[in-house]
Amino acid sequence: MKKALEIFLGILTAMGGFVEIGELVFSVDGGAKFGYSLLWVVIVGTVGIMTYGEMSGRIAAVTSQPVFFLIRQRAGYAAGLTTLLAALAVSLLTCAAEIGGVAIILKLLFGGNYFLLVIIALVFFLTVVWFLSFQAIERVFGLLGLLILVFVAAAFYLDNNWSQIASGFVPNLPAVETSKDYLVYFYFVVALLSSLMLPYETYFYAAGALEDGWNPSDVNLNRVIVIIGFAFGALLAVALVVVGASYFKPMLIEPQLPGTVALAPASVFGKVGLILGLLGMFFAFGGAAIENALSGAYNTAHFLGWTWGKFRPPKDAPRFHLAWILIFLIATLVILTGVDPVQVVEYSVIFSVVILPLTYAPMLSVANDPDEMGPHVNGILAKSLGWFYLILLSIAAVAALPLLVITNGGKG
Amino acid sequence: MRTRDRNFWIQTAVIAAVIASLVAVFAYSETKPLKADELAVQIADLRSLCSSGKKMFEQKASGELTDAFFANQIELMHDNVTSLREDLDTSNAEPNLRNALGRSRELAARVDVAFYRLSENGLSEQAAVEAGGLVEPLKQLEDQLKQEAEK
Amino acid sequence: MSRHYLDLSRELLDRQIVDSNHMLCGKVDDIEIEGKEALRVVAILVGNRAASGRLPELAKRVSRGLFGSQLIRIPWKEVDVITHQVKLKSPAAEFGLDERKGFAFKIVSLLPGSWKK
Repeated sequence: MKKALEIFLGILTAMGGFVEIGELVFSVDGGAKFGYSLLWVVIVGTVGIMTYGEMSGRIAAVTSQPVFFLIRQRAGYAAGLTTLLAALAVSLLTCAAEIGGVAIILKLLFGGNYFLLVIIALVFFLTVVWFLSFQAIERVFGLLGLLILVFVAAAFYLDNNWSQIASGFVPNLPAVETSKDYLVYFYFVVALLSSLMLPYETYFYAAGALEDGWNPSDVNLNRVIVIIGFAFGALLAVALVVVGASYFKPMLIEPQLPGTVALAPASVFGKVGLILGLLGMFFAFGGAAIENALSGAYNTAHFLGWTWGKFRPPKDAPRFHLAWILIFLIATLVILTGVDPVQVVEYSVIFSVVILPLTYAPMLSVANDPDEMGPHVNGILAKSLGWFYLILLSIAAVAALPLLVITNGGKG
Repeated sequence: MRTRDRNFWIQTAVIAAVIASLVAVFAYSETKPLKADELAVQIADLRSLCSSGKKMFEQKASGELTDAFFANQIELMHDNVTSLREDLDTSNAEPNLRNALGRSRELAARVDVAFYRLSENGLSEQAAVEAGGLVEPLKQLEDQLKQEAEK
Repeated sequence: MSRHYLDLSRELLDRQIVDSNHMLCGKVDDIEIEGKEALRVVAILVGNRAASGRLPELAKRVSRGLFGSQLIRIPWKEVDVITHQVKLKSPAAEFGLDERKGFAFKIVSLLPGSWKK
């Protein structure tokens, strides 16, 4: 019974980190532009994050070492520092975008001045993360984040072309009007893939495994949580693409604002659907902001050897706590410049594709190492998938920046 | 000491060159005249916003939206419309796009007015109809510009 | 420390240092060795001055400018045992490695509830 509860809560956490403002907007916008053609990317990305999420959890359980411990040991100080700085930059930008997204949702629910709501969101996050335990944060944001499932429900009631949906799951090229649109499509493939495999998901997941005190006997638990949790997350991503294709595309709407996305559940379920959609987004974005700030602090503490962890009194891990507080503060300053959160997360998603191989290569190296992992070393499946995604992401990393420039930020 | 100093200056020079070229590329792209596909992107954004505006009004009328949501979402969308319009009013386009740019500015101005009226209680219905009516002309202009870009 | 042979890069460099109370004290940023043919470890070095020395010249100077040039030298005889981390014989405060004496502690301990849990 206790195990079942632990599995359920673990799944919630895995699901929770899946949806954030970037992935939400890319999925729906991608569906609105290209119909169901991007659905295969959701599957590819989900299997990818399952592969590396499971690996990072297994490594943490078996070696009790978090991701950036390994990066420093395997890659050395200089290369490791480069990865750390890149990961911090991505987490900072993503956190900023999520804070902006939360402020937008608050404005849509209650009205008010956007900049004031950004400050309110900051105070909310600082208070929640400071006073709640790691497990409590996971549970609150995980459970309340389930509200976003209203999008899955709404997707079922739309006027869907089910046979076209099915064929979207096979890698394909959409029917487009100009040849430039193919480049935009590839940009969305890269961006969606990246937003599904954002590195903070593995950093935070492994750090969480350590906060929860996992040991080698938790390896199977890890596998179950990762597969079921991320599968549910994928269901949500699929629903978002379907919403984009079945609801927005026929109306020639390409959503660039989170509020626009909420029109879909509003159509199907009325005001209740609208409120559930907005609240779901609030907790999804909020959870992502927290995960990014904390993972930045974890990464820095793990890399530099500081005392870390929310399970002790803050005064015993002062640098770790100061780190996440600073990340929230700097992220808020970024958003207060008035920059569009969706633009910010777009850049952070593209930039993170470039650093994904830097993060995953040491992880794969450790998980393949029988000296470190003992009997829990990568089997043939994990090894093949690990290499496949490392190569795929390296290709995506090279293509990302040119595509961003040529397609004017994915617009054409 | 000498080798270390030399390395420092070489590395600094390289980083400075990279930053300088990024700044130059950015400055150039901001000031150069718009191409057909870039103009099409902005028209597409306006088209999307118009269609959303119309849909939102319909949903509000059938009670599917809260008043707070409608008012604030329209405000956010209107901000986007205004900044798109300002962009169009202040940019140059390539010579063969003069007409298209003029048409873009004209349509953008009408979208701006429609959004301004959408938030006024008495005028919203008419504004929603106006916004909806602008979707087709905007799409036509967008397609025209995309064809132009293909040449 | 009773080991005779040590693979420096795999077992010592960049490893976590813990004190006698198992408190985390930073990483092995650099190693001081002596000898010509038979090398011997004399001390482990911790701090930005040591770590930044492993960066390219420009990065090194920027790092020292931003984060200081602190160096803490731990004589080899102070090392107790090496497993997957480097354990010292004395508490962190003896080496100046106690986080609770620094700038971060001063700020964090002022906040309400920082002593709880």
